Amino acid sequence: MADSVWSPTSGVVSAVVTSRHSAVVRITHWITTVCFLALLVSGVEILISHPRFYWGEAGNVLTPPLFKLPIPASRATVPTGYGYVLPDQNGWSRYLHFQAAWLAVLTGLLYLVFGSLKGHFRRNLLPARADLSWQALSTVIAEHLSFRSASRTEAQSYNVLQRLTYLFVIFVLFPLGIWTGLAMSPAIASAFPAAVTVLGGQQSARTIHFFVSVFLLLFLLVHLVMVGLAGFRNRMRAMITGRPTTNPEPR
Amino acid sequence: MNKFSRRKLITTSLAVTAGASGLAVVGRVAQRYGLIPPDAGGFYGPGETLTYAAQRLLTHHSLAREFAPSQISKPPFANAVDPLGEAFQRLQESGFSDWRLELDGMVARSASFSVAELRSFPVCCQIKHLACEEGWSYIA
Repeated sequence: MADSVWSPTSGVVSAVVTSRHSAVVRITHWITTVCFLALLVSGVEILISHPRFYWGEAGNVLTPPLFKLPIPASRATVPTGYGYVLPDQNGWSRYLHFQAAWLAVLTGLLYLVFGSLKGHFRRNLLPARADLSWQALSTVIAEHLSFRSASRTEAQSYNVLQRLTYLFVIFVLFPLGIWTGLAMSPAIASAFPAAVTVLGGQQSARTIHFFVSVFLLLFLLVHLVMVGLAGFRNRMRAMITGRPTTNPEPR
Repeated sequence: MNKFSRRKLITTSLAVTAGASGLAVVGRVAQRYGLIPPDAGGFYGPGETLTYAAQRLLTHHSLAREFAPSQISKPPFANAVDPLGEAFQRLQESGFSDWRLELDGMVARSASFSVAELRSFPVCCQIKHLACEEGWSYIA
């Protein structure tokens, strides 16, 4: 992979630009996309079996919930206030959820190994120290709030807000989602009880898992809006073929 | 640039052969150690196999967690019970004299016990977490 050598502080693009995103980044990006959509759909199906959330080890319809979602359930035993029960799609959803989770985890491991060895995290995701000053940050935030379209340099590299967001998604949200998902497993709880008790219990793990999914969905929506604002066709081409997007989008 | 060099072709085919035989060996070893689930086929087979194998490898000697009496769920929870079928009612009428508990699978000694034999054993109590895949749970 021959990269553009771009220094975040000066914004100078030099050297030969052959690829906006490396092949590993592009492939893992799209596998993760498919996995996340599968996890989202199957997760919602599993969730509507019992749209109530608890804190601690145990919780059921007789215990007061931490909160409940104002939606109907796919089980008649759950009091929702609705006079009907949604169709139950719990079976295949659980199969799909686990299958997609495995694929996402394995893809994530490949991405982590590649990212560490090839300097992807250091070069493309770690913000430069100068960009983390309050003044630099507020400039970027103001630029975002004014919805100015992405500058030329941003077509070559990520700005500081993108870097921080991607780092948060990759190193906080995904690992926390995997941990809380595993903590719900009775097998994992028996082998590593501390992994559950640290979270506050198995129902707490389920509740945190739900919030992680909400944050990831929120990230996906903002991500799509930003791709749209920055030039949907250009950015999609960059993530599919890897071709750089220095030229203005053809109209 | 010669994209399809001979060296690349040889290394790629070597890697593919090594990968395929590696997978075959892993499959045989997994079979040998009971890591392949009954539902290993089909579209969801790979995910099921990974989950099954991971659980067997990680929980080889671990037992379900136990809880303190103070953690028992209040009020007690009972899930809806399916109608007890005809077979159960027949057994019930005969006082379960024909019923036996079969113990096999991942046990040191397979065995089979009648109700009378079960009643003769000493009683022990454990406080455990019972969770449904739907999302609810209780401790009892």
